[in-house]
Amino acid sequence: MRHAVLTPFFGKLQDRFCEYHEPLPIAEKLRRASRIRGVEGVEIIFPDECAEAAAVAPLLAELGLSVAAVNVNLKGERIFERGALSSPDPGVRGRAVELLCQGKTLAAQLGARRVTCAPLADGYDYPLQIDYRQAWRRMADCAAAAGSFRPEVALHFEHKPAEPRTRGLLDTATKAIRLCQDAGSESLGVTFNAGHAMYDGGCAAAALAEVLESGLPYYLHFCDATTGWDWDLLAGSQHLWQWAEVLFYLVQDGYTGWLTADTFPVRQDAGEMFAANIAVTERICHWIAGLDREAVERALAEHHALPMLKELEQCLPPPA
Amino acid sequence: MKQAIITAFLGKLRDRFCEYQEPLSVEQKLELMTRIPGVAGAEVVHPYEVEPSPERMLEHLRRFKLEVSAVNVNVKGDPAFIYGSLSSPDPQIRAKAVDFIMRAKDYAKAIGVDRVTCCPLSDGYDYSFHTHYISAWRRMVECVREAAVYLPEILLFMEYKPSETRVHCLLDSAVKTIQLCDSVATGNVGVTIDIGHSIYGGETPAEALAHVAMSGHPYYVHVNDNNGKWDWDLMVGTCNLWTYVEFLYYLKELNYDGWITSDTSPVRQDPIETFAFNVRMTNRIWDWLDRVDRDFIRESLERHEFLPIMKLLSAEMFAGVATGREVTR
Repeated sequence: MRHAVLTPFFGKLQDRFCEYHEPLPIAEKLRRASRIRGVEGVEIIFPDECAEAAAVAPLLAELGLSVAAVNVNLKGERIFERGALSSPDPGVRGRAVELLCQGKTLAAQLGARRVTCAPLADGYDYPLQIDYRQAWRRMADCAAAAGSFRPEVALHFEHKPAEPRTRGLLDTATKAIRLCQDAGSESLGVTFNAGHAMYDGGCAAAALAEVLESGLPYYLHFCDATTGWDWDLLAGSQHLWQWAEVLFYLVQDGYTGWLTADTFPVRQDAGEMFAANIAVTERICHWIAGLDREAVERALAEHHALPMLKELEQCLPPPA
Repeated sequence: MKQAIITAFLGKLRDRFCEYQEPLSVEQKLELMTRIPGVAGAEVVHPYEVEPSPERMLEHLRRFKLEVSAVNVNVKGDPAFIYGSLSSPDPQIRAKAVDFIMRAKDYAKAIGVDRVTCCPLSDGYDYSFHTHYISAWRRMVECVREAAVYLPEILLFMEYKPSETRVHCLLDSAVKTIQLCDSVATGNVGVTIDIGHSIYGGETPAEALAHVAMSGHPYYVHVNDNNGKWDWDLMVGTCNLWTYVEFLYYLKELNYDGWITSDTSPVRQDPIETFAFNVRMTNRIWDWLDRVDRDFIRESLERHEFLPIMKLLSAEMFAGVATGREVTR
C-alpha cells in the first residue's frame, strides 16, 4: 500500500466559525507533501486547486509524486447548493457531469487512474424535501453518464453520512455500492472512507467487507472521528483497533493501492499530522504482517472474539 | 490500585431477547473469581446476590481470599420501582428505595465494607411531559440525603448512566452526579464513574473524572467499553483504547489507590477469559503509565498539544510485536 495525502489540507482551512492556517498555492502544497517521509502521492481537488494538467505536471515529476486521484468537487459551486448529481434541474446535473468528465480528462493527463467524488451536496435536510426515488435515479443516471466518458479512468464515489447536507444520499458504503450497480457502468467504483464509516456508529471493517464482496474497484481514504461527526482526526486516535481491522481486511484482500489521508490538521502542522498518520498505519501493517494469517482466519471462522483481542493486547507495551 | 469484578456478570445474563450463561450461586461466583488472575475483590449486588447471612458471606470471602470492593444496591429490580425509585412521586416507593440503601449499608457494615454504590436506573423518563424534572430531582436529593445520614461512616456512591432502563435517566452525567452530591451536602456521598456510561453518554471519561476530582467528592470506578451508542459492557479498551489510556493516566495523576471494578458482560465469551483480559489490559496500561515520561505528558498538556503525546505513546504501541506467532485461544 502506498501513502498519499489530500492537498487541500496543506492550505487554509475553515469551519463554520473559524479559519485556520494560510492559503497556499498548489505548488507549495505539493512541495510540502513531498517532504513527508513515506508520501508518494497526492489527491488534488478539481477544479479548485488545479484545472489544467500543465499547472502541476512538471512539478509533480520533479518532486517524484504520483497523483493517486483527482477529486472532483461537486459542492463548491453555488448552483449545487440544493444538489448536484441528484438535482431536479437538468442544467445543474449537466454541469456536475461535465465537471466529472473534465476531472477524468485531467486525471488521464496526470497519469491518475481514477477520479474520486463525494457528492456531498446530494442529500436533504427536512422531511418531504426531496423525492428520494427520483433523486436516486437521477444520481444513478448521472453516474452512468460520467462513467461512460473515458472509461479507462475509473470514477469512484465516496460515501458520507452528512455534511453539508443533514443527510447525504450516499450516506453509507452500501449505498455507494448500490449506486455503482444501479448506474451499471463498469468503470465505477467506491472510495471507501474509513472515518466516514466510523462516525455514523458503524463498524468500518464490516462496511469495507461489503465493498470487497461487491467486486467493485475501490480506493481508500482514511481519518478518524468521534461518533456523530466527521472530525477528520489523526488515524487511530479514536478507533485504533477499528483502523487495524480495516487494514487487516485490506491486507487480506491483497490491496496494493493508495491509502490517502483525509485528516484535517486545524490545530497541528499538516506535515506532522500526515507523518503521524503514516507512522501509526505502518506500525499496524507491520503487526498484521507478523500475524499467523491461517490462525487469524480460523479464529474469525469460529466467531470467537478473544483470540484476536489477545493478539491486540500484545500490541500494548509489554508488562514490566 | 486493586481490581474487582461485579459478581452479577458471572452467572446467567440476559438482554431483551436472549439469555446467556448459566445461573450460579453466590458461592460459585466467588469461587469462579479465584480462577481469574489478578482479581482481589468482588462487588456484590444487594439484596439479590449476597448470602443472606453476613457471617456466611464472610466465610466465603475468607475462604476465597477475596475482599468486597463495594455493595451494589439494586433499586431497579423490584417491580415497585419500575416508575422510579428515589424520585418516585409515591412516598412509599421512595421510602422503600431508601430502605433498600439502608439495608445495603447494614450489610456492608456487617461484612466490613465501607462503601455502597447505587445506580438509580429507574429514575428517569421516556417521553416529553413524562416527569416533572424539578420535583423529581428534589425528591431524589432528599432520598439520597436520608440514605446518606444513615450509618454515615459507610460512603454512598451514586453512579450515573445516560439511559436504561429509562430512555433518559435523571442521573445521566458526571456533573449532575456532582450536583447531586453538592445538593445532598452530607459529605459522605460520592460518584461511581463507569467509563462505559461516560463514553456512550458523550462525555470524555478522563474529563468527567477530572470534574469529579475537582469537586472533592470521593469516587469509585467501573470499567468496560462500548461503541458510543449503547452500554454494551464490552471488554476494556476494545473500542476506545486511547480513551481508556487517558482515563487511567488521570487516575494515576490523581494518585487513585482504590478499586477498578470490571462491569463487563461476558455474554458470548468465557467469563474467566473475559475478566482475565480486563485485568491484564488494565495492569498493562497502568504499568506502562508508570514507565512513560509523565513529565513530558504534563508539559505537553499544559501547552494543549496532543501530537507530541500521541507520538510518545503510539511509538510504544505495536513496538514489541513479534512476528509469526500462533494465535492462541
